[in-house]
Formats: sequence, structure tokens, C-alpha cells
Amino acid sequence: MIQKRKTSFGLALLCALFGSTGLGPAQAQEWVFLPPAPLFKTLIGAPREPYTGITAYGNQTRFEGAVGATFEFLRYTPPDQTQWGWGVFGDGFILLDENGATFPMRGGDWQAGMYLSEATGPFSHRLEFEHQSSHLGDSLQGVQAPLFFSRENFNLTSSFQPFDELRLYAGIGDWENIYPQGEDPFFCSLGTEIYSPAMEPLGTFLRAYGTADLQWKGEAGGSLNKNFELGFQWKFRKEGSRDLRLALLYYNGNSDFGQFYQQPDEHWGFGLYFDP
Amino acid sequence: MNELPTKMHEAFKGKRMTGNLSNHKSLPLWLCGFVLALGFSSSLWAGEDHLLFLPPEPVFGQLIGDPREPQNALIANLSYPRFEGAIGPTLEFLQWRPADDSRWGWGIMGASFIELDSLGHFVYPERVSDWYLGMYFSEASGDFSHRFEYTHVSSHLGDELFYTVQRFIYTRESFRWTSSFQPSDEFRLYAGAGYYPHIDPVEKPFFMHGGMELYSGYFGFLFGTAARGCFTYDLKVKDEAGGVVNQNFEWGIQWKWKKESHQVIRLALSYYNGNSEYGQFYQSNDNHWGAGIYFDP
Repeated sequence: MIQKRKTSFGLALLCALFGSTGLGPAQAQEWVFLPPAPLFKTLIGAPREPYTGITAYGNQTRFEGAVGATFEFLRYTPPDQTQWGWGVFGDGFILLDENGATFPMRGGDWQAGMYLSEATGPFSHRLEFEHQSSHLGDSLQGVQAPLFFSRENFNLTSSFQPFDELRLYAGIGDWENIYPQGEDPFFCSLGTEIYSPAMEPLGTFLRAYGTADLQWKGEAGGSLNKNFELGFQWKFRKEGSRDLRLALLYYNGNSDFGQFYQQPDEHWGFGLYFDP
Repeated sequence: MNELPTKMHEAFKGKRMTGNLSNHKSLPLWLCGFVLALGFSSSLWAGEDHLLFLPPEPVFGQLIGDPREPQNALIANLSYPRFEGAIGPTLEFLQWRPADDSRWGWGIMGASFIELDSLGHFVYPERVSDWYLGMYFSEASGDFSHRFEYTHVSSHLGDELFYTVQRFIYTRESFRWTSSFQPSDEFRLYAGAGYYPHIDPVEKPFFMHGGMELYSGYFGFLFGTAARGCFTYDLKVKDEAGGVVNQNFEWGIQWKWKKESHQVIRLALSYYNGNSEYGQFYQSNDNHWGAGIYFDP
């Protein structure tokens, strides 16, 4: 049943992509295979977007590591000036305790998925199918029993960026397969990114930013996870997607790590992030 | 070179640096360190040079046949009901292109590798995961390129095995030097050596590494895209576990938008023979066939 739903979703995506854009040979259109950056820009304030980085907690002796990548297969620009993208993404997150020079692992989460995205002017949208699994860290072997935590969801995020300094986004999603079972599968999110005017040290592009990301999840009786960041974003050029970020963050809600999803988590920290 | 820059390029292009670095107080400290670490080549005084921040492609090309090179991949184990996943970005902070046509790079890399059992009904419990984080310096001149890296690795037993296998602390840091020779687009040889200054569990700390990549010519593929065949052989000889020889063979196809593009989808059949690359099983023999899809950035 699940397989059928996935297949139907795949067909729907292809129909949406090919059916809506008119592949008529006479009109100006452009296909790009493997473009260098995704159409839908990374939501830099969302803690579970694909990125690479390290976060040191300020109020606990813990660290988080993340590796993530987005790989866009295809970009289509039809004559109506919309743009369409299709790709895959994957990321891994690790939560570490600190014990002197050793960093025992508490938990690790993995996400992988496929997306279809569209952009028109200041609006962009992304429809994802995402798998997530979470695994208890081996430092807790014999201390805590691992949960079987495995899920797949569909989610849709819409973003509005009227000018360079402001971006607003909102999303909804539903876990169509969820373990542990019996949880409310609905979730939604809301967020913003605010940027300062840029400086140009050595001709590069440097600006301050602040983000707020709110995620409401129906699971665990309902939880509102809040993530706030203040930091600097540094790029080679304004138009480039690759950046390096240094940020101070505050998180409050239930843990984003699946093995602890029922437990409250409040921390602040320093992060160094690299967006692809 | 189309990524070449604007003001940063202009700031460095053709600059004759007749003073010492302290004359350039606007340079961040790390940039000074980078330049010093690269040996402060005399070519800085030679005329044309370019400095790129966050370039799209690293100086030292990815070793696509090395199963522990940072990579994005999904691999089905054909010998056992298992899957492997890998996510591994390389982020070059800075690339310096002096007038003598050499190129120098400084960056970091991170990678995570996970091995999953497949129990049917879409259940894939985790056997093990390995995590890498490192920093490198690299240089390329003509057909030769070199990379010197410092890497931390830790390995963690998967929660599927908590009730049957006792985990142990596996953590290491290594220095590794790799040199590569690529006289043509179709052929690349590489070799290197490394040392673990910290290794837990304690083992003999030396290892050597070598390999080759062979490519066919490009041929037109679907919708005007470009593709070529590839074959790789990767060899690691390690002093640990009483002496280990790990070999990895891959036969595949690389698929690109254009010949010059650096984003690649790779489909490959692989054969691995040696001890497991996963730290929690580094003393166990591992021979398997695999079929993988790789996304090379």
C-alpha cells in the first residue's frame, strides 16, 4: 500500500512537472541537467535543513554535528518565466556528549528525500517526500532502550522573499508512515530570515542575519519547537549559494533528535555552518 | 575561471606585494595563516594571482574510487541484505591561483557513512555509523596534485546490535598525504601515506594508500548530456589488526550535463575485499559486491 502511494506520488510529480509547462518545441524554454545550486534556497534558520556544521552547546557539555547535501537533477525554465527544480537531498545529524577529550554519541538522525520545487518572482515552493530514521548513540548502550524510530512524510513549504533583506516561509506536512505508531502525524512550520545590508570585505559578501523558526508537531501531545539564530553570513558573491555562517542560537521545545522526541530540550549554542 | 570574481579578484589581481603581510591589515588572521602555511610562495610577487573564497570545485579532485572519500551515495550490498548510505561534503574555503599556474586550496571535509541491515517490509535497522571531520591543504601544478589532510574519525555501533554486540570506543585522528598524477582526462594515479597520532583502540599507526582511475572518452547520452565509462581501483594497506589490505574495485558510468560540468551522477558496480571500513568492525573480514548511485558535487 505504501509502495503504491509512493509510486502515485512520483507519477504526480512528473505530471506536475511535465504537464504544466508545455513542452511545445516552438517556445523558448531551458532545461538544465545537474545545476550547481538548488532552486529553493536553503532555509538557514530551520535546524533540519541539509547543511554541514558544528554546534557547541553553551549551557550543556554537548555538541551537534551535521552533514548534508542537496543535489538537483533537473531545472526547467518554461517561457512563462517560472522555474522548476527536481532533486534529492540527504543529511545526517549527530548528538555528542563531551567527556574530556572523548565525545560519546547520544543519538544520530538520518534524513533522505526527494523534492519538486517551483519559483516565480519573490515566491518559491518546495514539495518534499522525506524519510527520517533515528538511532540511539552507542554511549547509551545498556543505559537506555532504543526506540524504533522510522518515518516518511510529505511536506510543502512556501517562501516569500519580497527583497533581499527579508524572507518569510511557512509549511505543512503529514507523516504518512510513522513509528512509533499512534502519534499525531501533522506538523507545520513558520519562519523568517532577516538580513542586514551587506559589507564587502575584499570584495566578498558579508552580512548579519537573524532567523526565527517555529515548528509545531502533533506528536508527543503537541510540541512547539522554536529556534532562533543571530549571526553572520559570508559568501564569495551575493548571487552564490555557498556560504559560511557563524551564529549564536537558542532552541526551545522538544528534542529534534528522534530518540528523544518526547523529551524537552532547551539550549543555546554557537554554530559554524556551511550551506552548499 | 568564470567564477572569478569581482572586487576580490581586482584586489589581488596583479598586486605586487612588496611589503610583508602586516601591511595588509584587512586580511583576516586565518588568511594570513593560510598564506604562511602554503609556504608563502615567491609567486606572490610575480604578478597575476587570484584568490577565490568558497570556490565551487576543490583543487584536489575527489578520489572517486576510495570508499572513505567524502561522497554522497546510496549503495546496495549485493552479497548481503544490507545498504550503505554516505553524505559527505567538501567545502573549500579558499583557493589561491598564483601566476605560475599552480593552484592552492584550503578547506574542510565532513562525511558520515551508515550501514543498514534490510529486514524486509521497509525496515532498515542500523548496524554502524562512522563520522569524519577534517581539514586539508592542497596544491596542483600541471598533471600533479597533492593533498595534506588532518582527519578525525569516530565509529559508533548501531542500535540494532545493542543486545548482541558490545561496542567499543573507536576514535582516531590522522595525518595523510596524497599525491595524484593525471596526465590525461582518461587516466589518474594516486598514492599516499598516513599516520595516526591518536588511535583508540591502540594499534600500529601507519597506513598507505594508492589507486587509479580509468575513464573512457565522452559519448553523447540522453537529451544531449555527456557520459563516460569509468573504472577505479583503490588499495589501502594498514598496519592495524595485524596487517590489513583493503581493495575496492568499481566499474561504472559518469553522467554530466556537459563535459566541463563538475556535478556528476555516477552509477557503479563495486567489489570490496579486505577488512571492514567501518570502525566498529575493523578487525572483521568484509568481502562484498555492491551497486551504487553516487552524487558528486
